[in-house]
Amino acid sequence: MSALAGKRVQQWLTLSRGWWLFDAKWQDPYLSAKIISKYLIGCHKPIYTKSKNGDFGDHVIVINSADIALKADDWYYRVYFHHSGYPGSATWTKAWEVHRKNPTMIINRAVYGELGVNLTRRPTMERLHIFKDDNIPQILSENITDQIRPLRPVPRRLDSYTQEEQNAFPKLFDYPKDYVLPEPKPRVPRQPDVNRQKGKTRNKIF
Amino acid sequence: MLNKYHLWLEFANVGIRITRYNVTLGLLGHTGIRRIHNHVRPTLYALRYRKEIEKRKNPIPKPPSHRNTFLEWNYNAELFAFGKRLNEEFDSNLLRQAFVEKSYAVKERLRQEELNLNVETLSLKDNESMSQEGMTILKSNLNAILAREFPRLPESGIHAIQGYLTSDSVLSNFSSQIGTKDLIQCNEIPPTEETLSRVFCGVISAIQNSSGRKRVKTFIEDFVLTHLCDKDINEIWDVQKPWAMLTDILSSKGETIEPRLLRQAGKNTLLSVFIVGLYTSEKKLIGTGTGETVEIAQEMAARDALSIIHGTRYPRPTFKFLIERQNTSAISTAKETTQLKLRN
Repeated sequence: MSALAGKRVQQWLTLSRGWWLFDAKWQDPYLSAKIISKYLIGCHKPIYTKSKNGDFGDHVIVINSADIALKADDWYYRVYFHHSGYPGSATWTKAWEVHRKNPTMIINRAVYGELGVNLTRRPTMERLHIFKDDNIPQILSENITDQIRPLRPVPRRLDSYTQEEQNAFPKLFDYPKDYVLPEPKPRVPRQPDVNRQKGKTRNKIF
Repeated sequence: MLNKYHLWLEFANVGIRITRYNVTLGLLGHTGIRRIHNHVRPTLYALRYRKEIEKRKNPIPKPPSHRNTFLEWNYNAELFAFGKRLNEEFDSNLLRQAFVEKSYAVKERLRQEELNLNVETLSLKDNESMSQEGMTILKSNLNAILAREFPRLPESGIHAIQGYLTSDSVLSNFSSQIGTKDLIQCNEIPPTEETLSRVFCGVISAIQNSSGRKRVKTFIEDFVLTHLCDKDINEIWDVQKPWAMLTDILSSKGETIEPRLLRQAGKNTLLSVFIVGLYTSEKKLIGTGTGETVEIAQEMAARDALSIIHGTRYPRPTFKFLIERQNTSAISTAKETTQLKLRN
């Protein structure tokens, strides 16, 4: 270690790459993509300059991508286009089908579209790590520095409240002790649609 | 304010936007944009062409010649001007002697002997003894000045700064900036670093013997110490084993150091960053350091803590002698202007 190390470590710190965590649970992937792309490009840093070669961006780890919430009826009406290059091989896949096959795809494509059309897009996407639930490999989770605030506050599900919390909640009134509550309807698991057309479907919506 | 170079363009729902057009050149006028102008490239091409023609005419490069071979050279006038430029009263013989190199004096003596001239009356006195005397004056003054400017700095630190400021490279820099290059009488053109630094020390010795110790001190403050203005002392003074030094200092006060990891990024990557903070037993933060590994960060934290203890943290506050001069000049020139005067 020499006396000149002071300026060297100062440079290292200034140009360091951070690791951010983003919880995509119940978030709009396209609005989240706007925020995530800013962190991937490095626009949140005062050292950022618009340059074709320089990269100032940070890593972003997205968790719970299986629980994203698309707007309105986008699950059925938003389609993802793919062409393999061969004639007649254009496919338009609905969002729910894509999500079923690969729960990380939707948010991946959303961020990809936000990054702008340039050669830095693919290397920048390498720094985006998406996981369908909150199981992150330890080697990545140890790198994390901070969390990006979710866009929408995630409300608590009613069935997540424990009996103690329910008892502690201030009640205005309660059922009389002799009141008989109706039996809850049995939940029937959804059967697969046997009449569904298999193979190539030309469900071109737009 | 509308003029012929402005056009108002109204867009519905967006508002009013002003676009500036150069009427003669249209949009190609590019008013207000900073760029390399169209005349630069042809100019550089022309200059290069001329340079190549010159090279072809004179393939062997001419050696550099001394200023005294050009027109209008009056050595006495130049010496006088040198003294006046520095606002110093010099003994002319001493100043003359300070610029004579020993090798040049020996050569002159041989030349005079060849010409059968009286060597005793014409012999040039060289600056060897003067430069040695000047170096001791410089070192002793610097010791005192640095001890005052950096009161908390230990001996090794002051010694390191003094060694840096009295090194040949630095002194030769001062020397050439004052304008001794054309006045030096030596065999090489241009003069070497050692020659320039010797001459600078000779000039210092001349000042002391002409004007006194006080004058020499102000000269050294103005011309040597101010070089430290933009310098980081921690780069000049390389502390060996900062952790050991810090523990010694704090254990003498009866305190222990606890290093703690404050922040980290990318722990498992090549671009890892760790920030370590050092705490005393009273849980007070005394220094922080950054590094690629925890060990490096810990050492940098020790260096940071030492720089705070020794008062060498960069950027450093203004010199004490400057503040003192400002105060004294403000008092003495209360009725006159309040402009800062460095040299009385």
